[in-house]
Amino acid sequence: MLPVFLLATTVGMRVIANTTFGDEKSVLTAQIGNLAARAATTLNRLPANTPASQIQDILGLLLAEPAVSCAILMDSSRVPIAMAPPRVGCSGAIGEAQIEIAVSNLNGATLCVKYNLNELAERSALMKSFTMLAVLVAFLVAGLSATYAFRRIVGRPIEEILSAIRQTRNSGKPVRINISQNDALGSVISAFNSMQDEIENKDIEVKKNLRQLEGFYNETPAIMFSVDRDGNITHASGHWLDHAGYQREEIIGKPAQQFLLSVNSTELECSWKSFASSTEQTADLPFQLLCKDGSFRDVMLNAVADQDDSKLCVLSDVTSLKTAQKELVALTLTDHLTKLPNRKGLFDHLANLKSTAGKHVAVMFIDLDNFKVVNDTLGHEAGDVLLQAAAGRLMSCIAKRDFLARLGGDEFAIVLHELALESDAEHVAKRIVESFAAPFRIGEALANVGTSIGISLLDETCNGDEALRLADLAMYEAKQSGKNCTATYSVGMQAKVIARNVMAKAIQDGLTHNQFELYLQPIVDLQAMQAVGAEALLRLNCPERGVVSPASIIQAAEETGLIKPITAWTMKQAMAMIDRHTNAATSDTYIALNVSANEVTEEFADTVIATFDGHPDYAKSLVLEITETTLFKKDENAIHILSRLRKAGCRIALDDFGTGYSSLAHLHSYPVDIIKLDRSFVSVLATSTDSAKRSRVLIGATSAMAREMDIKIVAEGIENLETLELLRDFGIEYGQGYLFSPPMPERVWANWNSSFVTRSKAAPFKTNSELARLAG
Amino acid sequence: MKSTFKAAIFALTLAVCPHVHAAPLTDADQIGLQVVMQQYIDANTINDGLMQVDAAEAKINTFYPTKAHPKIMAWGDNIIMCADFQDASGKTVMGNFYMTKSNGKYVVFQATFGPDVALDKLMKTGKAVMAN
Repeated sequence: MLPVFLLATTVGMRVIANTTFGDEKSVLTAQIGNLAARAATTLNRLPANTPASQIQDILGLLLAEPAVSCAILMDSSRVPIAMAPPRVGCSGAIGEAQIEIAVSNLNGATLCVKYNLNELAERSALMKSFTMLAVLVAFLVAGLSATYAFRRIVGRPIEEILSAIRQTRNSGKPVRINISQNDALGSVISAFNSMQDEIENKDIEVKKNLRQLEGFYNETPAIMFSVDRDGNITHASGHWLDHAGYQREEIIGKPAQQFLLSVNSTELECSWKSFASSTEQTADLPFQLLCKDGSFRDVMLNAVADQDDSKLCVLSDVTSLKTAQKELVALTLTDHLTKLPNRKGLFDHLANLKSTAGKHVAVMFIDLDNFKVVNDTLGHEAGDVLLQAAAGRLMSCIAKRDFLARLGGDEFAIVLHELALESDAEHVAKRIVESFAAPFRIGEALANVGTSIGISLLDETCNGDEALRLADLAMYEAKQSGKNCTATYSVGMQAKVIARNVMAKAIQDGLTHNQFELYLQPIVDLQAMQAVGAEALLRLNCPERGVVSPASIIQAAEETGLIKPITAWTMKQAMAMIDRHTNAATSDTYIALNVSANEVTEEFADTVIATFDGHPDYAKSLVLEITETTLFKKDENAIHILSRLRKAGCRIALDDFGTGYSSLAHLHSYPVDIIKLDRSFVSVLATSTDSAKRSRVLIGATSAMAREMDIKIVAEGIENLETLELLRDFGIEYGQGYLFSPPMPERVWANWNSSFVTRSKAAPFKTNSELARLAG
Repeated sequence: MKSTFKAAIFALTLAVCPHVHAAPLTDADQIGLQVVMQQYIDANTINDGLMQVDAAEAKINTFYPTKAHPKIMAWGDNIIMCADFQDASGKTVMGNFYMTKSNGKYVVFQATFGPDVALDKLMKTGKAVMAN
């Protein structure tokens, strides 16, 4: 900018000089012209004879102008007439400019005036040079002054500011400027110092906050760390270091992925992708924290992304939780008593079964026989000991590759793997049955427990769960076959199951739609010939099948667990009948109910006894008929239950006597009030066969012994008068049979009873002929 | 910065560009023209002044020469020169002398006194320009 200004100024000065010079020259030329013209005019007025000296004086006037060098008046021949300066004339002014003016009145003379403007030009040039020099000097002085002033007023303060900025930047500590000025820069410096003060205060505050934050970061009992956008660790809390066992320098700058792992590589990759791609918040990503000692801690990672893509991460140590979770899972899959896999564990195992080419897999369903007796007689603790011992025996019978589980109660299951032959499963089953032949020692006691084993084989059409179900069916079949044996599933078993299920549905429908009914068959006093009670017999009025007998109902009901509601219904109906047909307070008439062997349980006794609440007199009107087999199989437990029922007031009748295993010798030990002679003995009594003879011996002995033991006898199956007569002869008190009446619906009972009494009174049963007449 | 630069350009223009005038007269021409004007005034001076008929006022004005103007104007090949006069009341009146070349010499062909409408118009239209 300065050169431009200098050039412009120089040019301006030059223009001014030129103009001034031009003006001066114009004035000078005007003066010379005027002088010369005046001189010519004056000379022109002179007479022709004017002396040269006078002319010379006039010419001399021209020299008053310094620019005029000389003047000569020449005649027409250009011979000088006069000149100025005198005598010299223009001899010294060679080459100078001149003007010539005609002076016609002086004989054609010519005035020649020579002039020189160089002096003016030189002066002008000098002035130009001087002006230029002055300008240059002025500029130089101005420039130096300006530079000095600039440096003093502006440069030094700015340098100080820049220096302070540099020092601040290098040292990180705000530096002030010690310059005081009352100008704009002074304000800038003051503002700069204020700014530095503010920065320093802010810096102190920030550092304080940072220290506080670092304190929080390190002292907060959380496993915290920060990663940059590349996933490298930038900070880690003290708790993190304590937890993982690292020194800070061992982890800072390292990829977080180096310390956060997963046992499952797919899961790890998934977790890392989720973590890395998250731009806001990541919640509960599962990882394993690799500790310095090589151990792993289960952690859940929660991260919050910052604006610069860094992340603040918090780990939650869930190792204890995971361990507890694993233990819980193990617990849910394990039977706590035997430490074997439980039912769920078995199902898991079955679900993951993989077939091996050319090998068979079999599933065994094992139920301990008579385990309940052990539980009931020796207590549940003894039962638990027995189950543990049984598990040990089972385990000893199978290979290591096989799988043993306890399903619950006294049920076990075994999965046999890699069997070469299907029959190998049966061999293992037999080995198990044999291993249970020896009694279990429980403390001082010995317990005999057998096993019933059902076997099924897995194939393409039968998965693990289905195989277990079929093995269960087979086990049931084994149980039905007499226990302590094995059965392999066959298609026929399935048909039985279907039939049972159909019956179960009929029973269920019967209960729901009130299709059950109790038929009554009278029990008659053979001497008085009047009904003393009735045996209530269960019937199901099935819309599809008609009237269904108890035999098929009870078996299906027991197998399906429907026996309980049937029992409850039957007891309720029996109580109602007692109320309707007996005078419980004054008579001995009763209603007899059949009780199957499986029903003789403490629970059954509780149900019956509970029925008498509010009606204690009804108990003596209820007779419970049980079979010999029940007593034989249930043994002490059954005797105990029946004794409870007798104590409550019920009477117990031993049904089908003579067909079972009991002997007359044991009769005294049974809690029995009534013996019901089986129809197989009674029906042949009136014949002349060998069977009749044996029957008479049995009936006679039984009658004599019962009488001694105050046990009443009821003869079943009386169908003719001869038999009746014979039974009377044996002293049998009571009887029932088609001779008196087949089982009848309750609604006709009252009519039958009244007509029977009427007939008996009108014609007592005394002779065969009379009996024949009455019967006819 | 921009304004400074513009000023510099303007100064350069002033310095480089010629003034608005005709072809420059030599010093000798200028002196000669002064001589011609002075000789015309001397030749026409009557009783020390130049006389002029004022047609509008129907009177004769006499103007006495006081000073010749150094500046010379050109109007094409014609020259216009000026000189100061005083009238009888002492009031300064400018006289303009229109010259043209005849046989190689300049001769005055018209002289005006007082306001010169023609010259003003010539100058305004740029037809009459400074010649020195």
